[in-house]
Amino acid sequence: MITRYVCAALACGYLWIGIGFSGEGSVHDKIDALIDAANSKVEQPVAGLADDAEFFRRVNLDFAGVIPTVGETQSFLADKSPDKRVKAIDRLLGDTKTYARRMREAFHVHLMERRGENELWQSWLENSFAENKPWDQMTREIIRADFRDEPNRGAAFFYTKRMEKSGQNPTDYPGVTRDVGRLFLGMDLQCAECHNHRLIDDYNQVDFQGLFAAFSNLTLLREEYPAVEEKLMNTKLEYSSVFTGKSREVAPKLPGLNEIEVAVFEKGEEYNQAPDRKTKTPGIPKFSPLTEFAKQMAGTPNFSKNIANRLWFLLMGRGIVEPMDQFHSENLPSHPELMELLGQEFITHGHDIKWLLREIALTKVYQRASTLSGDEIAPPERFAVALQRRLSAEQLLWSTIRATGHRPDDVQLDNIEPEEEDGDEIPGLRERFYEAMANEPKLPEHEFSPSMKSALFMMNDTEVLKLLDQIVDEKATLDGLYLQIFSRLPIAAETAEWGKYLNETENRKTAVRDLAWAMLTSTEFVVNH
Amino acid sequence: MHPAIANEIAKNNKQVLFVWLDGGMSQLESWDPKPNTRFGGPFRTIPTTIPGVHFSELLPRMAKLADKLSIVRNMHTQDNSHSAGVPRMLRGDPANRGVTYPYFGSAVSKILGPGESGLPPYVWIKPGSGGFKPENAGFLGPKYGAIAFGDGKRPENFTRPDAISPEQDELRNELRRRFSDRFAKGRRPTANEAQSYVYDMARTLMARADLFDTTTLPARDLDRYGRTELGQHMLVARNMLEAGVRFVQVTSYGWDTHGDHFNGSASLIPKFDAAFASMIEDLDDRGMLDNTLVIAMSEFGRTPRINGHHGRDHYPEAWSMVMAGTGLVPGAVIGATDAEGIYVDSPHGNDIGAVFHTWYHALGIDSMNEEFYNADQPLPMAHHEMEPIREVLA
Amino acid sequence: MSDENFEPQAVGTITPDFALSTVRYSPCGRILTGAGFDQTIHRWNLNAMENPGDEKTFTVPEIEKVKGHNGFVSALEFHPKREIAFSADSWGQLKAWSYLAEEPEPIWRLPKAHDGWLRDLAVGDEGDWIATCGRDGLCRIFSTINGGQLAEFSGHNGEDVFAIAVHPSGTWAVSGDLKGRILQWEIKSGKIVREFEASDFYLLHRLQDLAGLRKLVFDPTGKTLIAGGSIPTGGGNFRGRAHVRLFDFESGKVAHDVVIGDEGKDVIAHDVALHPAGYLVVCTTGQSGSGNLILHRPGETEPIYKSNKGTVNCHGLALSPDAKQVAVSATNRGSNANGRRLDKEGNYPHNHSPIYLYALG
Repeated sequence: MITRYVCAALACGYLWIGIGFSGEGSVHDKIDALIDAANSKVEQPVAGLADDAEFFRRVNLDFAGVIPTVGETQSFLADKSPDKRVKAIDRLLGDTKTYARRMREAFHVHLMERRGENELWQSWLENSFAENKPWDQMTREIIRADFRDEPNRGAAFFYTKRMEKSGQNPTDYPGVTRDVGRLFLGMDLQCAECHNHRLIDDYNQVDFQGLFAAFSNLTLLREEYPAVEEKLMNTKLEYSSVFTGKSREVAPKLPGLNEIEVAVFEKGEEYNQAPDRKTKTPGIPKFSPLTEFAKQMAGTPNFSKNIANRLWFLLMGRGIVEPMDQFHSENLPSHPELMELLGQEFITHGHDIKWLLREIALTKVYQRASTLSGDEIAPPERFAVALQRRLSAEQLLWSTIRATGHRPDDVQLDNIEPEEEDGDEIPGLRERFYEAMANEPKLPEHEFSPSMKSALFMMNDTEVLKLLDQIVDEKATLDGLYLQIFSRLPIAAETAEWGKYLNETENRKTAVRDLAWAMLTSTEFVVNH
Repeated sequence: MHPAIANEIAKNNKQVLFVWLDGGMSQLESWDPKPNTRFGGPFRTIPTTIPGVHFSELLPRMAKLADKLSIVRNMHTQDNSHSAGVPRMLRGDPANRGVTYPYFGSAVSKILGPGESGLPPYVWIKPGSGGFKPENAGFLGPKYGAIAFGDGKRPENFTRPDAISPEQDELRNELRRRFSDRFAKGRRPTANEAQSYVYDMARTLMARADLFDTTTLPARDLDRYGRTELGQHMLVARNMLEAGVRFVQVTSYGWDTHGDHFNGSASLIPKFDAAFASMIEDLDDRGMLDNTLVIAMSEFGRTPRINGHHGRDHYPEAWSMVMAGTGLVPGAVIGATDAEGIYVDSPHGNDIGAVFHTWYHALGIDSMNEEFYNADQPLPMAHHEMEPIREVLA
Repeated sequence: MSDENFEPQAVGTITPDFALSTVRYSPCGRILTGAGFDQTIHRWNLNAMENPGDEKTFTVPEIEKVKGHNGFVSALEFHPKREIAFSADSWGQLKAWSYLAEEPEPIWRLPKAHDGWLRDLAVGDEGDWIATCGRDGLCRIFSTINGGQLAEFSGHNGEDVFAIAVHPSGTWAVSGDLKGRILQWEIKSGKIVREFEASDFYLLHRLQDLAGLRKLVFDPTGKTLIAGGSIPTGGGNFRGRAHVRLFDFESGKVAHDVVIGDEGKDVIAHDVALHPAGYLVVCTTGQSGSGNLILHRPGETEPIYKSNKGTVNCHGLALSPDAKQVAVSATNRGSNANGRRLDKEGNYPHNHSPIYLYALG
């Protein structure tokens, strides 16, 4: 079987470049073996490795959240060492500041889905990634939301933003429940609130209600920092199915685990710290479902696979389980053994996020080219070719700034206060990019689906055009433009076409600007590939 | 879909106007009043141009145009909540196949295509914010989402800066296309298609700033439609339809009158009456009614029972919706409710699945036999256990 | 609660079989009438009341209902001296009838006193004429003897007129419309004398005109004009704060703004009366299962009394002629329900308005 595959691969122009083959038994080799096996089985043609330029751009966008500088690209392309790719990966992962900012941006969108901003939340995220805090610990801090834990208070924003009331609507406890299920357990239990899920046998009403029992017991506190308070709980939650009408009860419970016993105390003895309405100090009940959830969550059946799947998605553009919030026995992973492997290894390595990202980045699969010759299109779930992945508004912001030859310090990132009292703020570049490139709140940003807003923005926004005006250098060469914007050198055909264009133009300055604009708005720039 | 049939349908020049009254308009204060009964409420009824059929006094102009409408009075649907009920109505509530079905607008965009106008096929005019709504398209993919114009106004960044001439704009977009097409070689085409699509759409729209401008319309039009939010939006919708947009959805919010419902209806319904009647009159005048499917509905009706806050609550049991235009029998009343408006006549009335089939058929699409394809998975276009309402199809 | 700590004493509850828009006592105090949503006027013989104060055994016999209206019976007032009642409905009919008769025939009847909803009535002090207002934007004066139209006022420019009151002197009427315009006009000439400020009783929210002004009442001396209703904040499910504004009639200025009850619970003040002891008696409706009877002295921040869960969704109230009692028509509990909720026998039920009688100090 291996031989057949190698022949087929060679026939496709497979290129073997030393990518740090650390020998049998490394996780990244196992990943490759599993995907290769699945592809051979169906005789799926696979792409060879990406060339240096494509690899380097990709890995910078993934780990630094921005395209590389011209200098960085040139150095990398010129570097002759056989292990330069591993070194590049390690250098990027080792640049703590940049890595932490990139991961903060990615997880902010992933966990908060553009619902809103909070400084403490952002700094908690960034610190967590700077320390390479294990995911189970990050989860504990979000789920426990302990307002006494000062350095980690920001984590409560996950709850508090979702609990903010809008108009006459009641607090969206079902929404909190659903999102904890989706994002931490890989289970979208929305359709199991009122009855057992009609389509997914594995999702039962008790799964939803067991989570709901804990989350509906929270109150939003009015503090300067995000904070919630747990109320007293001394009974189970009653619920009934709208189909059977039967009344049931459940204590706080995580899916796949046992109910947590509701501890009942004598009246007056229920608090570790009693609430004081006069000083507005919240109470700390002795029985804290959130504490129990925080302790147990990493032990739920899909916890580790869920995050491994999402980290895989972050680098590969598609989960092994899709949709990512539908882990259940009838939704088969594209590569079941791979999913098991990643989940298991992630546990073994203490839920170390950086470790898993590195392992994935070291695979051949991750480093594949994004082109595949031939007429047939490889189904995305086979990971036979690198996917064209959505770039976030943040990645586009930083990359556009860099591609137009600027640094964040010398552009107007932040909003400008109005001159008159009741005038409007003038949005800075950051807000403009978010408006144009980000999804509406609550819509996950998984697919590349550009909006007309983004097109109008790039065509007509004055700040964007200013960025372009400012890079225009009549002496700009085609190579220079390509390196700065596409992070590669042009191929011969491109040099011929565009070289001709530049040489024949009357106004070189305008021509350069137009070329630059066209490159910035072309598909090549706006996707990660 | 079979290529030959797809070709036929592509020649189809039908359009759709979909008016959505969000929150639940009361059938008892509009299309199916029950005066002087337990639940009749305070309003009188007026005769319409359909003999024997009366509307509430709150629809004076629609009463005169009733003979252009097809009125379904025995709507009987499943959901009495907004959050679940609204998407179910808009997506046709097919038997669940584990996929998210597209809104009717997305489906029509895909099946009938964008038409010749170069404008977005699915335009949504609504109060509040605008933007691209890919989620409407369900499994059809984001390309068939709606482009929403908030308050019927031009989107932001609509005007090309003076520093860039039209020729230059043309040129730079040509360059963009060339770069993008090069990149697309050897790669899955969807990303490139999506990117090109939004730029082409944006540029076509930029050339039609007039579509959003109602200030240049004669005062008579502005008065007829009503100088209200809905009247204004309906005029923009008219512009869009005249320009050839395939599917125009207009939403009015604020119809969920659990409290002070009668005064609420007295204010809301006549404003809808003015805007909707003017639209029907104008489509008819322009000879467009024969080719346009017009729909007006909510996610459910309102309870006959009047609650303590002078309100009516949600009622999916027995309510009404209206349609007009292409492929339909005008002046037809489908079904009935009982004397007090509590139950529908026939055993199960008409659910939204039957209504979707009816709409498809009115547009010349055989939804009973044609299918959607989600990757390889064939899916029924509308509820597979329901049928179109034959009596209303021409 | 203010220091007065006043607690109205429950006298008893009357349970008509349908919902009412409001209740009124006859001037002699013998008859209590209820204007029904069922096109009829309910009547009770208060003289034959038994066991007042005992909730369980309290009864008041109901007399024959007065038929002949359409839609909702929207307003009901009495002749100050003669045994005649005037009632109006939402189809625009106005009629006069003898309220003591067993099966009253109309003395006179105007099917189209207004085109559509006739919202409010006010009887001139001597009883010679009656003022009406309605959704057709007009105010009219009719003779109480034969129903002949004596005058018409169109100063509201076609806006739905919600409330009307007549100054005790009989010289002026004050009417208020959907947009919160309260106009004082001379009855004889129809000339507008002045406007009172209540534009905040109106809000345009999205497509909906939210009319907050519901009731206009004069104190017996004519020195104070009282406007009751709501300061609206949002539409769909009408949101607002129940509110009563008192104007000093001479200067035209606002003497007191009284926020009634609690947010969400007291949304619209439908009916207002001024007790001789100087406090307001107000009834409200609110979000499901709320609304109250509230006693509130103008100028104080807290009410004297709020019925809280005792009475829900109160549509109308009336002080007895001697002001020793108040009758509040409310709504039964559980009046809201989405979907088709049936009663125990499997029938689709309608709501009704229990009338709570209280003794005031």
